[in-house]
Amino acid sequence: MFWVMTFLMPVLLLAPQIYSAIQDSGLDLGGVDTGKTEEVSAADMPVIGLVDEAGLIVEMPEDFPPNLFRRYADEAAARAALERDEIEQYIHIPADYIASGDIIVYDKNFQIMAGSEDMGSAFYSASEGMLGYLIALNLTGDAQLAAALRSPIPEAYAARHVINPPEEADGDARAMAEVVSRVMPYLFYFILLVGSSYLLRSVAAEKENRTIEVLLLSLHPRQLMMGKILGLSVVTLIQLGVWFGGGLLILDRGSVLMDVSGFAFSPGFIAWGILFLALGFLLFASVMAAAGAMAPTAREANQVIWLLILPLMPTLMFSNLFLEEPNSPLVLFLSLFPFSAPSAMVTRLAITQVPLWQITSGLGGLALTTYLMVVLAGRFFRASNLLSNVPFSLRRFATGWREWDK
Amino acid sequence: MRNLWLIARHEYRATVFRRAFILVTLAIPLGLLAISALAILAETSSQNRLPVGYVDRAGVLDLSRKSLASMTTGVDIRAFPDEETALAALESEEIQAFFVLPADYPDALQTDLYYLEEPPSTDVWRDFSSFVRANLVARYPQGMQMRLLEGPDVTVHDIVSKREFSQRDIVNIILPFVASLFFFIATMSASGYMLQAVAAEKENRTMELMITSVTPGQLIGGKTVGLLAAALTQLAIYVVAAVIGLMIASSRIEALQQLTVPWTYLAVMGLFFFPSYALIAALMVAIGSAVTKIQEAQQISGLLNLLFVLPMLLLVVILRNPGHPVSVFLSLFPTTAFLTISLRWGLGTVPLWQIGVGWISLVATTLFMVWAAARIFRAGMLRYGQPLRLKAAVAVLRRG
Repeated sequence: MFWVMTFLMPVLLLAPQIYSAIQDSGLDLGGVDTGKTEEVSAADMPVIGLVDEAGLIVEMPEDFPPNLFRRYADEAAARAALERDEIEQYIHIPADYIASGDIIVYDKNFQIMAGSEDMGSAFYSASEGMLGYLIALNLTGDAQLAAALRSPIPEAYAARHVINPPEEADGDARAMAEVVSRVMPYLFYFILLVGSSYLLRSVAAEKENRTIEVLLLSLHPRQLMMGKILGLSVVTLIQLGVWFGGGLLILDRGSVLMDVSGFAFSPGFIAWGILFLALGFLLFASVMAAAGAMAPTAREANQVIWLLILPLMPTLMFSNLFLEEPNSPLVLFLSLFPFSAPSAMVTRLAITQVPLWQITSGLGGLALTTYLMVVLAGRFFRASNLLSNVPFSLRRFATGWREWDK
Repeated sequence: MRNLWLIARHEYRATVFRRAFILVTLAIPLGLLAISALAILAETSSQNRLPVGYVDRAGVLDLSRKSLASMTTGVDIRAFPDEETALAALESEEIQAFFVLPADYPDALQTDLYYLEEPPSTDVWRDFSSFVRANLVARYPQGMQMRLLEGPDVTVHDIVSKREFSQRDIVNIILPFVASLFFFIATMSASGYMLQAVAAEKENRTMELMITSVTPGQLIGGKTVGLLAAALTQLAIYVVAAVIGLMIASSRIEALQQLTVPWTYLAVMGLFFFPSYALIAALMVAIGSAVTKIQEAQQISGLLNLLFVLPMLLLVVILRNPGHPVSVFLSLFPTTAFLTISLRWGLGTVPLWQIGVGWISLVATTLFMVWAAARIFRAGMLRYGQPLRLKAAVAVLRRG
């Protein structure tokens, strides 16, 4: 089962992320059609019914397909045509349109997100697309003005002049950075959580089924904790090896599909990555060991895992921000805050040059916190806690670290 | 029956009246709130607040019409007589960027944009476009101006599902996503408790004692009902927190005032939630009774949970195209139907046949699984130290 999880979990979790990153970055997948078509043939064009009680639509733009709209005298006729599937949808423009602005579109099995591909979509046409343009054209009688109202400063027509141009970034290298920025937080999330949550569960389960009583006869609690952490580090190392090897294979395959010669990890990335990973793992493992020692039952220990996941969440959620603005205050905070630093700093290191002071402060803070947490976990991981089934209490957390087994 | 309620009450109390349960139940919404606050902070802190300039060679823009434009960022707009002055302002960082409108604007829409390092954000660009629009419609009567600026207000009526979609009630589109997330957390945590309840009691042999005074049906039924009540308690706390949050926020945020209670959505989700929960519970009972160690049970259940979480992992595909064959397949597949239909609800009409087929396949699988779990439970319950292998489990099911 361990091996199934090791191989299957990352594939299932990363595949959608990689898919979306590749779709967003527009990487050339060696001529693979990504599903978006530029032109829609005339036969495939939808036909849209039009019931114009306001008498507004007189002129049709020249660049619209000739049979896009089919006029109906009243709603009943349009509805009947929609029910017979002769039209995709129909637009009802009420007589008081100018005063109210209301337009009602009737559709069958309507999908909002189909807007960008299907010209029949109402929301797309309403904002900047077809319907708004058509109405503006007929209200003003000026095609250029209607086009300008639709998009007054089109991004595609704006000639850009950069005063202080940043260093030229290769398109594929940036796309690769995008993939890395999405994948790295997930990788760290799993490395840090999977291994350390095994620790929490094993401590809590051994405590509950009283194996711990037997173990404590021949072991000191701190030896037990360090042994468990060490053993699970090896498990995580094996998992990491499989994932890292897989990652290298994917990258190797990726280099066939795209030119990633412009993308390189910053110097020392591997060394920093290992340091952050090792300290991060030790930090999470010691927190989990302490939680396992304090939890009266395995059930309660499982609930606590949810709390420990929270500090890792922002890096997952703001992966775009890491890419767009790797030096923004929030990203900087996340990469210095010890509980998010392992995943956040390594993600930053993978995609940008990070000033040395930030790396060292992040690492220093992490090392200090890890040291404190290991000491603290050692104090919680003592016989009186391991052999008790007293529920969690703030008082125990506040005072528990003061006493320890000598 | 009395025994069933006794067990249910015990399971409920053992799960809910724990500090960790209360802590986690409160921490998850608070944590999500903190993360959302961080997102807003990130958005605002990274925004460039410097004004945007323009050089208008066509003579169509007038700064006094700024008030007519609907601008959201609060970034000011400044006029410059020529490019040199604007460039000097840009270089001294008085402005973040400036646009140059050609002499034949709006007949030609080709503009020039000058900036230092980063172009203006999409929001700032949208604000400037809104300002230009307000100038372009200035020559029309006021009623017409408003119509041209605001554009049509579109409402879509779906004649099949009788549902209504409108640009105004964007909140009703987002709501199913948030609801799906909470449903997901509540169901997954309940499944974890269920597994724990069975596997741990088997491992520490409490089950052998229990079975002397209650029937297997009462034992499992009681655990399921008790943990369902715990999951519903968690959901109720989330719903109450969300309603209070929305009530406070709706006084400040206009879009939230359009929020209506989506009764149809809640009814459909209710229809799916209970069989989905029963399916997870049955699966967990089967795993918990078949294995010998709780750790092993957790590993297998982690893999099976993936079958329920798949829509969350494939969220990108569902969002981009709710009618995609993958989305349709996930809507019909028993373990994923609940979450997929919930996610698709806000994005458009989910065809009735898909809801029907999805529900039937879910209920059929659940009934089968409950039947199978009861048999596996009977066979595995007293096999202390001996796992029930797949082959033996199939044989147990065949024997009926």
